Amino acid sequence: MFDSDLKRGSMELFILSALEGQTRHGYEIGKHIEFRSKGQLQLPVSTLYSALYRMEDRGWIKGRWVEKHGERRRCYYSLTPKGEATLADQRKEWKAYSLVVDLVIGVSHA
Amino acid sequence: MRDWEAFVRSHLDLPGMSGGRDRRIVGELAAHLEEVWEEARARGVTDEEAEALVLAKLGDQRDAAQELLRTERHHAAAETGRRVQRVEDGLRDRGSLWARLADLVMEIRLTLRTLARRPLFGAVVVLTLALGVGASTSIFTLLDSVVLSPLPYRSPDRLVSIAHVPSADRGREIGSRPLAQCAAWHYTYQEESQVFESLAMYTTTTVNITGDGEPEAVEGFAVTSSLFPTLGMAPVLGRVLLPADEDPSSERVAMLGYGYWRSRFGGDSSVVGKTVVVNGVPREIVGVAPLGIMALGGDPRVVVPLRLPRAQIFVGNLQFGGVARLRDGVTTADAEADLARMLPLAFEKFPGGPVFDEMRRANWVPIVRPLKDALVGPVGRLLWVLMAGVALVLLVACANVANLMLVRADGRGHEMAVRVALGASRGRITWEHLKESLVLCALGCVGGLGLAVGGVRLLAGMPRGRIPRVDEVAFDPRALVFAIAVSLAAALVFAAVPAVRFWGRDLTRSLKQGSGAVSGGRRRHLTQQTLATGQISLSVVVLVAAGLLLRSAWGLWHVDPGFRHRRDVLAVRLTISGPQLPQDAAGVARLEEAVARSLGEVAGVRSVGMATQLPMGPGLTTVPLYAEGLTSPDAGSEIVRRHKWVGEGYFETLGVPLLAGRPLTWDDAHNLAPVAVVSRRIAVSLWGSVGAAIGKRVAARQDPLRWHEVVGVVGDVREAGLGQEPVPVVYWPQMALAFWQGSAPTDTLAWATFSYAIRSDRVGTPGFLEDVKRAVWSVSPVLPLTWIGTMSRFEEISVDQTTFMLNLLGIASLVAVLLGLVGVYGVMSYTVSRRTAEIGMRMVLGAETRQVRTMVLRQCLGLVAVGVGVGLALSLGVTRVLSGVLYGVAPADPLTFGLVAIGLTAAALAASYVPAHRASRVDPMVVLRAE
Repeated sequence: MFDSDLKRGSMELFILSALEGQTRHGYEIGKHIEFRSKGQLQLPVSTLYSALYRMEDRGWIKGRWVEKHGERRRCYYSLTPKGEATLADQRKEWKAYSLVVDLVIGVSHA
Repeated sequence: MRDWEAFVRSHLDLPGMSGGRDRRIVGELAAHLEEVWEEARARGVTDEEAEALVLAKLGDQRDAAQELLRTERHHAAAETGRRVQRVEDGLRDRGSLWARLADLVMEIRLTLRTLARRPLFGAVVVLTLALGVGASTSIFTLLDSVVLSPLPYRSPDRLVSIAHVPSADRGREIGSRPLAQCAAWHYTYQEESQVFESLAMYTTTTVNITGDGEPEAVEGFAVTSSLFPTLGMAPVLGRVLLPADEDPSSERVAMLGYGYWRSRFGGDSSVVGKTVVVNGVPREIVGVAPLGIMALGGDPRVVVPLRLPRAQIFVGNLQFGGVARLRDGVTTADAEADLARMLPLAFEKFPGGPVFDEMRRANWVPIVRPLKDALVGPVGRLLWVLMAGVALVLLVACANVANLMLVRADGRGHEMAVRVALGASRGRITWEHLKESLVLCALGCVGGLGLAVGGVRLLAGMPRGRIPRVDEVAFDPRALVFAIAVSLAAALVFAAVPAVRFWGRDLTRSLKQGSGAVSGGRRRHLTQQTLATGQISLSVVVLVAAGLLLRSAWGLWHVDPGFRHRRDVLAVRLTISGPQLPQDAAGVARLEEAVARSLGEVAGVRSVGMATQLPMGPGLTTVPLYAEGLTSPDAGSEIVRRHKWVGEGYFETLGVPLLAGRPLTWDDAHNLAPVAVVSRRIAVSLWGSVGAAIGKRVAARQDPLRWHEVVGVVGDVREAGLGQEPVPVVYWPQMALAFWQGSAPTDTLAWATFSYAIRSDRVGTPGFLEDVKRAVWSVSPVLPLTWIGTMSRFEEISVDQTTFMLNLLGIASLVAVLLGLVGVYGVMSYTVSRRTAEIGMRMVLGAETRQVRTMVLRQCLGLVAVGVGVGLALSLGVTRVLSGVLYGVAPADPLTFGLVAIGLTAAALAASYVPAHRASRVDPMVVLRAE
C-alpha cells in the first residue's frame, strides 16, 4: 500500500518501538508492527531481518538465542541503552518532521 | 515435520556467506516462515493456501537474497572495523609507543576509507604501480639470478675458465666462443702449474641409455674427477667421481644428473649401486650430481669420467671446456702468464699426433676469464638493456601516477588550506599527502609482487638453451627488497610532488581569494606538462631500443642461411654404440646407410641426407686442411675449418646449392674413394674461384698417403648460426681410408654418430614421427634416437636470445607508449578546461571550430616536439650500449629514429584530438553568461 522507500526509511523506528520495554523475536516484531498498523504494514522477511542485522551492527539492539523446551530455537531481540536513546531521538525527530510536512503540504488535523 | 531450513535454502541463493552467519540467517528465516505456516494452518487454511502465504512473506526471492547479501557485506565491513578498533584500543592500553602504533593503524584505516570514496582513482593508481613494480621486479629477478648472483660453487670468485685461440685470432671470437681446451694442455697445466689450486676439464656428449623401456639418447657430461673438488660441489647422493674412476682399466661408473634421477628413477634414494647401461656398457651408479653442475651449460642426464690413456693424448682436438680454481692472491693476468709459460711444454710432453705441426705453427695463446663471465657471456649485456628498458617503463608509470596525485591534491586544496588556517604545520600537510601515497604504493607493491611471482615462474620455465642459469631463476628475498624499495621511492616522490607545491604558497591568503588560487592552476599545469613531456621522452628511448632490436631480428630472420629447405626437414640424431651393434667401421657405415635407405621409403619422404653434423647443430670439428701444391705457411693458419662426413643426398635434402662438379654418393663410401667436396669460401680462398677448385687435391694430414680430389663445390652455409658469418667447410665421404695424421694405410674412419635430415611434406603432421621411428627400428631395434626438430627450429635457436629480448622489450615499449599517451591526453584535457573562457571569447570574436581545434593541436604538438626531441637526444647516448647485440643496423640508425619520432608524434596528436574536439564544441554563450 505504501511506497517501499517510505517504509524502508521508517523501518528502524518501527522496530525500535516494537522492542520498547519488550524482548521479542523476529516473527513477533513483524506481527506487532502488522497489528499496530492495522494490517497496513506487512513486511517481507528479507526487509525485516536486514533491518534487524543492521541495527544490531550499530549497537541499537542485541540478539540472544533462546531454546525453550519443545520449541524451535529462536533469537530474541531487546533494546540496548544506545537503542533506547536512538528511539527517543527518532521519535522527537519524527514528530517535528511530520509537523513540518503537514504545514508544507497543507494538511490540518482536527 | 517439515524441514524449513531446506525450504529457505531452496528458495534463496546466498553464496559466499561464512558458515556461522549463514546458519543464523537461514535459521531465523526458517523459524519465521514456520510460524507463518502454523498460524495459517491454525486458522484452517489448506496446505496450498498456507504455502502461498509463506511465499508471499518471502517476497521476490531474487530481491530478498540481494537485500540479505547487501546487509551481510555491510556486516562484514562493520565487523572488520570493530576488530581493528579492538586491536587499536588494546595497543593504546599497552603504553605510549604502542599508542603511537595504534594511531598509525587508525590513520591507515581512515586513509583507506577516504580512498574508498574515489575507487576509480585508487584502482588506476594501484594497477599502474602494480604493473610497473611487477615488471621491474620480474626482470630484476632474472638479472639477479643470471648476472648478479655468484655461481652456485664454493668461493666462485676464484673460479676461472681456460680457453685458447691462435694468436692471429686473438680478440675475434670464432663461432660463439674461443676454442676451448684439449687434454694435452690440461694435463700439462695440472702437472706444471704454480698458480692454480686445481684444474678440471669437461665436455658434453650424447649417450645412449638402454635397458628398461625405450632406448633413449640423452645429453651427458664427460668430466675429469677433479671437476667436483675444483668447483666445490658435493653430491646429492652417494659419492663424486674419483681419480681411480679415470683409470681405463677400472670398473666403469657413472653419476646421474639430478633431474634425470628424479624423472627416470623417481628420486629413489637406493639408486646408488644399481646399474645403468650407457652406450651398451653397464655402469655402476656411484652418486647423483647436484643441480649446480647445470650452470656449466646444458642439462646432463649422466656424468661419466673421462678415461684418456696417456699414450693416446695429443695436442689438438679442442672439444673440452677448461675450469680452474686460482690460488689465493693470484689474478687472472698472473694465471694467463703462467699458462703461456706452460703451453709450449705440452708439445714436449705429448709429441706427435695428427695435427702436431699445425698446432705448433698456429701459435696458440691462453685466455683466462672469470668463470661467470665465460658462462653468462653476452646475455648479461642483453639483460642489463632489458632492465634499463623496464626501469624506463616504471618511470613513465610513475609520471602518470604523479599526475593523478597532483589532480587529487588539488581536489584536497581547500581542505589543506583549512587545516593550515586551523594551525596545521607544513610537516602535517606533508604527512597527509605522504599517508595516502604510502597506502597506495603499499597496495601497488602487493599487487606487483603477485605479478612478479607469476612473471618469474614464466621466465624460469624458459627452455634451458635460451638463457644460461635459467634453472637458478627463482623469487627470493632480494627481489622482495627490490620491490619494496621501488614502491617506497615511488611513494616519497608522489608525496613530494604535491607537498612541495603547497609549501611555496601562503595557503590562508589563497583561501580568501578563492578555490582557483588554492588549487594553483598555473603551477599545476606546468608540472603536468613537464611530467607529460618526460613521459614522451622516456617512451621514445624505449621505442627506439625496441625498434633497433626489431630491425636486427628482421635482418637475422631474413638472412640467407645457405640452405633452402627448413620447415619441411626433420632432423634426427643417432649413435651406433653397444654390444648388439657393429663395432667395425664398415659395419657401422653399412648400418648408417641402411637406416638412410629405410627412412627414404617412409611414405611422403622426398629425400634423406646424413652428416656428422647438420647446420647450426651441436658439435664442431676443427682440423687443418692441406692443399696439394700450396706450401705457403699461411695455408695452414685458417685453423678453423669445419669438417663433415656426409652420405648421399645431403646437399639435395637441405637445398645447399651445388655450384660446380658433383655431390658425394654411396659409391664413394663403399669404394673408400679419395674424394671431397668443398664450400665456396675454401675454393675461392685457396684457388681463386669456384671452377678452379674442381680436380684439385686436399688432405687433412700433412703427409697424406692419399690426396682427396675435389669433385664438387657447394654454396656457403651459416653453420655457426644466422648471426654469424659462413664458416668454411670440407665435406668428406662417409668412410675414409688412412685419414688422420699417423693412422696406418688400412685404417678406415667411420663415425658412430650421425644426424639425418629427412625432407617431407608430412613433417609436423600426426603419425610421421612414429613412421620414422618404425623405419629406424626396422633396421635395428636397439638404436635410440634423439629428436632434434626441424631445421627451422635450429634457426630459431640461433637467434633465440635476440627474439627473447625483442619480445620483452617490445611489450615494455608498448606499455610505455600507452602510458605516455594517457599522460598527453590528461594534460591536453586539463589545458582545454583551463582555457574554456578564452576559447569562448575567441569564438565570440569570430574564431571557427576548425581554428580552435588547430590551436589546441598546435599546443599539443609543441609539448610532444619537446618530448620527442629530448627523447631522441637521450636515445643517441643510450643505444650505443646496444651496439654489441645489433645485427645489420647501426645504434644511431636514422630510419628507426625517424619512424619513432613520426609515429609517436602522430599517436600523441591522435590522443589529444578528443580534448581538441571538446574545445571546438564550447558554447560561447554559456561561457559569456558565466563570466
